[in-house]
Amino acid sequence: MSDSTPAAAAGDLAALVRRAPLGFRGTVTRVGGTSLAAVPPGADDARTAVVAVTEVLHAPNGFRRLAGSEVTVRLAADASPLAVGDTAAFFTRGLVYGEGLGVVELGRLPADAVQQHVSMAATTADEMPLSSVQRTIREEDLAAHAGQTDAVVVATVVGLEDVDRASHSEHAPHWWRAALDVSIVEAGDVAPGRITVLYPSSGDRRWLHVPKPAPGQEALWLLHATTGELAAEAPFQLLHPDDRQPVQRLAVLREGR
Amino acid sequence: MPTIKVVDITPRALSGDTSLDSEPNLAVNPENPNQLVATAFTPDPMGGPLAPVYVSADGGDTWVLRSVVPGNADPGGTGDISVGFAPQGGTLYTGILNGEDGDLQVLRAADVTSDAPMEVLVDRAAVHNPDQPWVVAGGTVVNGSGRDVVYVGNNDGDHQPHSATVDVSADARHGHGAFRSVQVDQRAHRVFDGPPVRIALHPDGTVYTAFESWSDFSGLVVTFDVVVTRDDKGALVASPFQDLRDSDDGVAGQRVAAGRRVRFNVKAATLGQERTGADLSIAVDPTDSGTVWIAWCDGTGGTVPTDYVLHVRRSTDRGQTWAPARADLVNAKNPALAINADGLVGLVYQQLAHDQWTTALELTADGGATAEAHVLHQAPGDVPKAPPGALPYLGDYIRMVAVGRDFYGIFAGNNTPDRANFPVGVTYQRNADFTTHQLLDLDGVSRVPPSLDPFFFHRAA
Repeated sequence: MSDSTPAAAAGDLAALVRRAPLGFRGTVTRVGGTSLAAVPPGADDARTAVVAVTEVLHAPNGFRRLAGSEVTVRLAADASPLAVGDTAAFFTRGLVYGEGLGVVELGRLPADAVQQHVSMAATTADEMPLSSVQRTIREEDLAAHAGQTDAVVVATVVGLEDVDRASHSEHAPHWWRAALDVSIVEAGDVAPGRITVLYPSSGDRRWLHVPKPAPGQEALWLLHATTGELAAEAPFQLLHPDDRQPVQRLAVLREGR
Repeated sequence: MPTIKVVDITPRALSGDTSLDSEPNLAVNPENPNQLVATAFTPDPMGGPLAPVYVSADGGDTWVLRSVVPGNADPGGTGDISVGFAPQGGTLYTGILNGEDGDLQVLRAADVTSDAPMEVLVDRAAVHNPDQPWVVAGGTVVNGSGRDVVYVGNNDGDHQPHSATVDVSADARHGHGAFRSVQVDQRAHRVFDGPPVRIALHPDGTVYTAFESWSDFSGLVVTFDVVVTRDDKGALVASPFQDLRDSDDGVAGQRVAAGRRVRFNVKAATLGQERTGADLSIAVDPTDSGTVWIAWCDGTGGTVPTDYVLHVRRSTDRGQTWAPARADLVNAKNPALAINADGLVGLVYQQLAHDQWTTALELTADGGATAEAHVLHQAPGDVPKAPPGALPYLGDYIRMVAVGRDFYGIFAGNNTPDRANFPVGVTYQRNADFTTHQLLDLDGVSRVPPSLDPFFFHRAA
């Protein structure tokens, strides 16, 4: 790649990062081969390549230390062929996890197109070069999620009680009711003052990640209108892991909207 | 001389994994026991829409992870999951609670090495909290053509109070399998049934089910009977599971134990970070369909009211009468029974004592009079710490199956790489330093905190 390769347009890069959970820069060490028995070369042998990872751009926690490893890449159908020695920034999703990693290519950029982010990362507290892009995506997602809820408020938890609905299942939500003292109404048909909100108190895997209000806790709450027979218990409920945010996220939310 | 191997099935590519990969399950291809599929509460490593299964092609020595199961909830993974291979043809059947919406689904994969998502055969909405789909696959030949007969035990709230259910397909390999939902609890005056509905299948067409029939549920305490039903024609008749009548009330379903009490779905200090309430296993002797074993847990016995006690009983008259086959185990759970082609009975269980979880395998050839015993794993019960309130910990079940004379099983446990934790030995695929007792990340240097991994074991005859 030439030194004059332009930096990737921010929108293009964000779209790639959104689609692809793993991004890395690397050098092709084999074409038409595989470093993983579980990823046999396809009918078109040239669509598989082994890439030595030089730098992780963004990744889930378990793959942030992938640099130095070889990864087998099933190339995107519409991507240009690669030759041994080529370098690029690969945007991928997982395919097979064995003695090594097999991934599917979702997008590719010239290696230099992300250089600006790599250089910047060295001067910030960001863990990975594309952490700032991921942060922007998370903020967009939060705004989108807020747009799908029925009320957005800043409120303090002032009461908790068991709704006491019988359940025979390990996976039942075990609903509790939280009383919230609302100080700011950002969206929805809610007045400042006290409202009630149902939440699943169960720690079962199905409900573990839904927020559990704690006494005295002040937060930004993203509320869903309660439907069905549960509506008699409270007008709103918490259902999603992102339904509780730090109060400081209100400013981020306003910016994103 | 029999040998035992234990393998941490987390692949090397997931050396950075810190999730609690609990509640494992296992299927062995009877035509090719080198091909195995394992499952657990393992989320897709990159947060994709499909949850993974572990696949081995070399008898369990090495494993790869492929995401092919519908409904990966990020970060939770799939809900309950169990697997079973058809006797012939290599088709894998899977029962899940979809991680996204909680629906009970029955799935099929014609080729377990494929990247294609499993095909959905049954989808039952989560409105009434269906639970614990438990897959057992058998086979039959009709007009010279093999058919997969598949049973999925589950607790179906739509059938409340008689929620213990078995979905049966007489030909699951084709179409959507035309599964038929059968209520197996037929006794009056019940309030519900417990989550586990387990199945034991014999090649002669005898099929047993075991379930826990609740007569009362108040103050978190359940009162229940342990019930076994039987069908002598593969449950492929108009009114299945009528062939075993209770010796007292004549209702279909022999009560093995009655009026047992247990605290349901709560943590008990005696089980550390784990919950109590629903543990059950049943196995039939492949050499004699009249000999059947059962194991379950309840609050009867022990020394303090919160003790959780594992009981094992055996019947030699097709489930009509039962006798204790082993001394009770206090504060033990996750019994898994299997019987091999020699009639050798295997029991694996997990027990908390002195703040240590121990996973033990016992084998008996004389009805429980004597046993060959092995500790597969032992480790501190408070490592790793689960998130506050999280349940289950090790999981609500494990599994063992017998193929020919061999036993294959899986359990979840603390993955600290310490040889002292594995008295019969162990093999890790993920990066680990057994000298410093440290898990290591993909770079082979950075430390990774201990978590729960699924461990495969194989006792070869």
